[in-house]
Amino acid sequence: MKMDADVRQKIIGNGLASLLIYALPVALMFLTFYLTNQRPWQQTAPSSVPIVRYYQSFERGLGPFQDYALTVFVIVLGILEFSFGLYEKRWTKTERSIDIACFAASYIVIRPFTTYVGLKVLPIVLPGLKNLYVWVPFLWGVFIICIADDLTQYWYHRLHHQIPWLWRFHRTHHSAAYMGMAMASRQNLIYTIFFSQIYLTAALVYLGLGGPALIVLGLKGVITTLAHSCIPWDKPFYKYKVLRPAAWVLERLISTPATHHAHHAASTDDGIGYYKGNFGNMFFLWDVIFGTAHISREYPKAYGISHYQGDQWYAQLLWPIFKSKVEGSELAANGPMVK
Amino acid sequence: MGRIYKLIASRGAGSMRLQDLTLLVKKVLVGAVATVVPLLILLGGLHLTRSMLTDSSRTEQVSSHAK
Repeated sequence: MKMDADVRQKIIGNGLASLLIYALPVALMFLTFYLTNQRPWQQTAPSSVPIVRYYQSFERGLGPFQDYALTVFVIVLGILEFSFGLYEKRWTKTERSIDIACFAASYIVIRPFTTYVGLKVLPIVLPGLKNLYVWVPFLWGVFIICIADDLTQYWYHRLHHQIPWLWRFHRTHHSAAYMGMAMASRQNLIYTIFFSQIYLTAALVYLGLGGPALIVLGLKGVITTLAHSCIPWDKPFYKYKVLRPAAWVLERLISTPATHHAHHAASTDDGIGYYKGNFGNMFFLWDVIFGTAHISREYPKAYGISHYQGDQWYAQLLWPIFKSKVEGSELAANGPMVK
Repeated sequence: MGRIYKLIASRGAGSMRLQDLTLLVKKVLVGAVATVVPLLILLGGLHLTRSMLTDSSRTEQVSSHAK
């Protein structure tokens, strides 16, 4: 199955525009330094920006617990979802096994692997560059990482939808017929382990932007988990007139349950579901900029893949190393490369 | 070890073919490009910011001394 010429053209055009967007925060920082005569690399005193001082004391106070904050948040949200019975009867034994295996794999495999890359591989690939850009002011660092990390994930995600031979690596994330916090980590292990933005951000941490990365990744974890959650926290924004201006900004800026659930819909026929777009993770802005956005302020009636028949957990976790035994499945040996 | 081989074989890993390996390599390459391109832009941008502004402040210092 070949990619449409129209899709290919849009990928090339949007890809070239992205190069400018990647350069934007550094260009604006350069302009600010030039106009205000700032030279932060010549300065050794601690930052005078209040938010930076607050962050530094917050970081010291939390100590080793900050790494667990997001995990605790995800588990609490999961308990809430189950307490309200929001998964209904769709959380079958196979789906449970996949969700739990993927959630556990992100802690047992992905984190140790990326930490190893950060500590051992980067000093070899980028010798002598450790903390070279530690002078980048904290808020500029946050701006740089917000764009670098999330735009890269947008592209990684979009390419796995739009390039037919990449789709099967991402299929596991879309195969569930429900939404919930576990969906954020429900991925084929090979898809997750080669996440481009993980290595890009690890390189930026190595270059000295560790503090900003910590804040951005925490924020991103909260936004993406809430966008996958089956709790429609954005509903009041559409319901109450007074909140509608805020809703207009919010739904264009970040991923919300309405826009991200549409991406997980089983069909596009109802005008709500839109799995051909809404690729944004933390920021939805990329979809707005590149014309892949669909905003309906409604939630799809059905999620998943229409032809999904419950492939085994090991095939969904590690395709193409393990194959599905479901006849005709995209993950089966000699399975079709269709979406 | 024999147990692991048995498990892998029973899960259909024996059906891993050359075309799957090619697919994996192609996938890794796409991911690598998506990492390296923005990294080079940022490295270049940060390097230029520092070197250009350091040069401009030196030039300003020299010209003020000359006056």
